[in-house]
Amino acid sequence: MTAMLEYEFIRTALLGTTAIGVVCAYLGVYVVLRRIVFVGATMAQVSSAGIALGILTGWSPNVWSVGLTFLAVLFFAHPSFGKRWPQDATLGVLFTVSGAAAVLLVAHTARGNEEVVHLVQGNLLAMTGTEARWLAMAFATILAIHLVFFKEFLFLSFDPTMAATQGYRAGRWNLAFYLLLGVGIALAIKAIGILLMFAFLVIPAAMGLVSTRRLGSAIGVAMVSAAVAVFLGIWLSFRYDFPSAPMIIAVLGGLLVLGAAGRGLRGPRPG
Amino acid sequence: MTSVPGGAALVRFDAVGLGYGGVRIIEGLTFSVAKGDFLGIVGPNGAGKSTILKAMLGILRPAAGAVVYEAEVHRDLRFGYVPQRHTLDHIYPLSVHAIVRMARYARAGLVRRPGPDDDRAVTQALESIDIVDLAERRFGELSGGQRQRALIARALASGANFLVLDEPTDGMDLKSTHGILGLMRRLNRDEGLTVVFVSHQLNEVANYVDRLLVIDEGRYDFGPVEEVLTADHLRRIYQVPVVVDRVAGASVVVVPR
Repeated sequence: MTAMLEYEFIRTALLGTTAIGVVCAYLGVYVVLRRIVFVGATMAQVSSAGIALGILTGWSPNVWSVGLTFLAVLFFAHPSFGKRWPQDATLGVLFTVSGAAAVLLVAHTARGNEEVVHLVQGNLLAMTGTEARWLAMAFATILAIHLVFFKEFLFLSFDPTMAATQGYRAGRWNLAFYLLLGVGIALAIKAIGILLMFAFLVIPAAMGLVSTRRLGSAIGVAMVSAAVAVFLGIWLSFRYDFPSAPMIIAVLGGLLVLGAAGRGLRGPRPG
Repeated sequence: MTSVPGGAALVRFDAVGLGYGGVRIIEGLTFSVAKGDFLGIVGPNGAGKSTILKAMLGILRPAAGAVVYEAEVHRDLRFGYVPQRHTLDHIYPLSVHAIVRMARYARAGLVRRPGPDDDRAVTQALESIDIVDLAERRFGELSGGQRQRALIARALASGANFLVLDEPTDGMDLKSTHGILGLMRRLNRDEGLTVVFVSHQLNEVANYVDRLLVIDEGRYDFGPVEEVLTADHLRRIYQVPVVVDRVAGASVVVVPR
């Protein structure tokens, strides 16, 4: 299993993907608890349209991606979002239009189809050392901000009205939450693709919440399972010559099934 | 928020208009809450009861008029808000203790975690509501009545002297309803807390509170229970014939067939 560590491109992929996976797993616990999984998926799609725009114009896909995601964040965090028009209908429109835009924007570029596959599946083994270190720092910063303001993000997610009566600016904290999530998604997509980023956002969180009874434990299980899935997934793809991102998702799915089965075997929880 | 000198009211609504996005729900609402009051705000769903609470708490700005806070007590006025329990998502894996502790977050300050004093306040709040045995239970696994008690304990843990409760008995059975209303009355009479709550069940509320604010389709009536709870007053508000009677020492409001 350790033989793959002799290759620098594997070590680089492990560093970058683990950083993304672990932090997305942490953010994912909030995404699942706040019931905004589809918001996450739509942000990812908007972000991919930004990357496509970057490829088309030849000017910094990351900047385009973060910029478009920032606009989406302002829209999602606005107090009127989901009040005048059904939230899921708005998300459905944005999701499909952004997805189509991403495909159309790169369709006539030199490597059109390849770029589309890259956007969806990612190519984490192509990550450069500089890119991996930069991603690790960026995601460590996102995690650090979340941990420093842990109680504020928890309170504002669980009961924003009560928090507002205690003097918290609920709207600003909501915007801060979406901004951190949006930046994370935008940076992750370019490196690992929509599919794996979205899997990191949902599956580890589901596993943590299914298999434990406390928030701290759920977050811990989510982050550890993401790290384990990255290592096992890359090893399996290296050993049996499969694409890495789908293999990591397969491992995450397997871990979730094991976690759910383990909970089933333990029987009903005491009251 | 504005504060003015003089007057016995802790909070006064002066010709207040309330609404969202240009749509007015309430116009010209005038009433006041005095220290030690036990006020019930009663009306059908959509009448604007919760909107009145938000304006009282200062988290919704009136579209017209003013919500005025008594100057001398404004500094010591500490609201404890109890939301409708079904607005809190039960999938959060949080214990009752963790939820009650949230009431201390603002006092602890930004970034800092609550300390031993905060933990003592949490324990005292749990004891005063008699739910210490529920402290480590998951909030989502509790019954409706237990959840409501946990949320009242959270409001108390904030050091509140003015409780504001949004539909605290909504969806509860008879026993739990009277348990919660009895608890609120005890907190008002024995602990000296000012209590304001909203409900759509006039019969439940009228036999517990001292004062009533009844609202329906823009009409409202405010005053002591014995003044508001008359057939004439209620007929004017609800626009239907109403009979107010006494059964086993309690007031009962019915619409005759």
